[in-house]
Amino acid sequence: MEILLAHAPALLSGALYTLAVFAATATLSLLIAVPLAVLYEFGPRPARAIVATFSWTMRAAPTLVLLFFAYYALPALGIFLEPIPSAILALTASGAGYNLTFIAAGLRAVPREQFEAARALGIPRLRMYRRIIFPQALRVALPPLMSNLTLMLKGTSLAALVSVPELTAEAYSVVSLTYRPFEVLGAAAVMYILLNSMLVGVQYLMEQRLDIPDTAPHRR
Amino acid sequence: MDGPLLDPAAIVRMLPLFGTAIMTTIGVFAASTAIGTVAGLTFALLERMGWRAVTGALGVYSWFFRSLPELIVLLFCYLALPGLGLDWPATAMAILGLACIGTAYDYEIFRGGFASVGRGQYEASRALGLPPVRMYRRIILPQMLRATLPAWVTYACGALKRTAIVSAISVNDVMGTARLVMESTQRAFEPMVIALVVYVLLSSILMAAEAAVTRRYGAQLGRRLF
Repeated sequence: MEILLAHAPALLSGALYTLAVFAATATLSLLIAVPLAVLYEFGPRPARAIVATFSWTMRAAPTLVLLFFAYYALPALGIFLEPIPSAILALTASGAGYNLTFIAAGLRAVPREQFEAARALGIPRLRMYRRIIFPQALRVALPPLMSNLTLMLKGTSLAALVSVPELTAEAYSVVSLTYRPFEVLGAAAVMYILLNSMLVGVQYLMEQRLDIPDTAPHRR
Repeated sequence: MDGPLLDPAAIVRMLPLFGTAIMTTIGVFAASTAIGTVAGLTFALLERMGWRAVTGALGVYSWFFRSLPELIVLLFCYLALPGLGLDWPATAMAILGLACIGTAYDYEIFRGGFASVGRGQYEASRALGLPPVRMYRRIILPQMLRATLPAWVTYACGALKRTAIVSAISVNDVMGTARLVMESTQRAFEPMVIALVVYVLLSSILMAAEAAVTRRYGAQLGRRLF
């Protein structure tokens, strides 16, 4: 216990890094996935093929491989990234590959008449998506999106392997200082479970707001 | 680093090193998936017994292993379990860790599958006087497995990719070998491209199977969990 208290600042700072990396990747991957999903569903044929290939590759490659690619292989292309930007880049690309398929499925679930009615009323395209299409698509897309966000939260632990000082990396270095793997990794596990529970809470609130039946994977 | 970005000669020199690595990746995946599936099915059957304490314990187990990052679980197996007297080689620890995680997900899949088989099926078997073992083997399991196949394949797809993490506990799978080759040759691009291509090919096989199974049996439970 004293060991944990002595190293609590390191673990807490790790948890903050985890939260920051997750917030950045979750936001960016959703922001990227929305236009890509629209392109995939309604874009011209070549654009669809490019988006589909991007999504397939990102979903077929392990996140860790993407991460090492960003960190070790991109410098060969003349792109040098610090650990945190390279982690954010790889985790965002991996998450976006999944998120865009869920958003595309949501868009597909919106009846065609909704588009036609909006056009008949002369509603500009951007406003049509924002006010009419996306709110309906989100009802379908939210449960799988939130499941993917919990996977992305867990996935931030991979950033430890490119020396981002997040929770797993801090836990690992505390273990090598103290030789108490049981207690230290246990404490890190508790922190991950707390972070995860926060996300499940957000999912619950959003489902209430959108009036979707509860589908949180951690419900019990 | 000298020479062209993607040096064909370098790739030809590196490729043979990946032979055993691919077998390791497939072996870790197959072993952890087999153990996870059998254990997950056993847990789901145990839950059918309806003992409240067992159901509660299974729920905690499942929630715990689905909440934790895989890397934390693997580090725990690799660093903490030897201190508790379990001194296995890294590959065995990797399989153990991944199997524990797989068990939790497969348990959720099969639990949902049992619930999806109508009550009438259970009642009719009992009314016909079928002993419980034969009822499960002949009536319930065939329906349950068909309903859960898409979700199971979807999970297996993800599990294959997750095996790349075992390189972090010094298992020389495809990812681990790519790192070793990178360190010894001081060339990063080729080994990373080889690893990327190997993983994309391996998981494309499973993703094609996933698409085929989902088309045939419907997404059903697949969407719920992942």
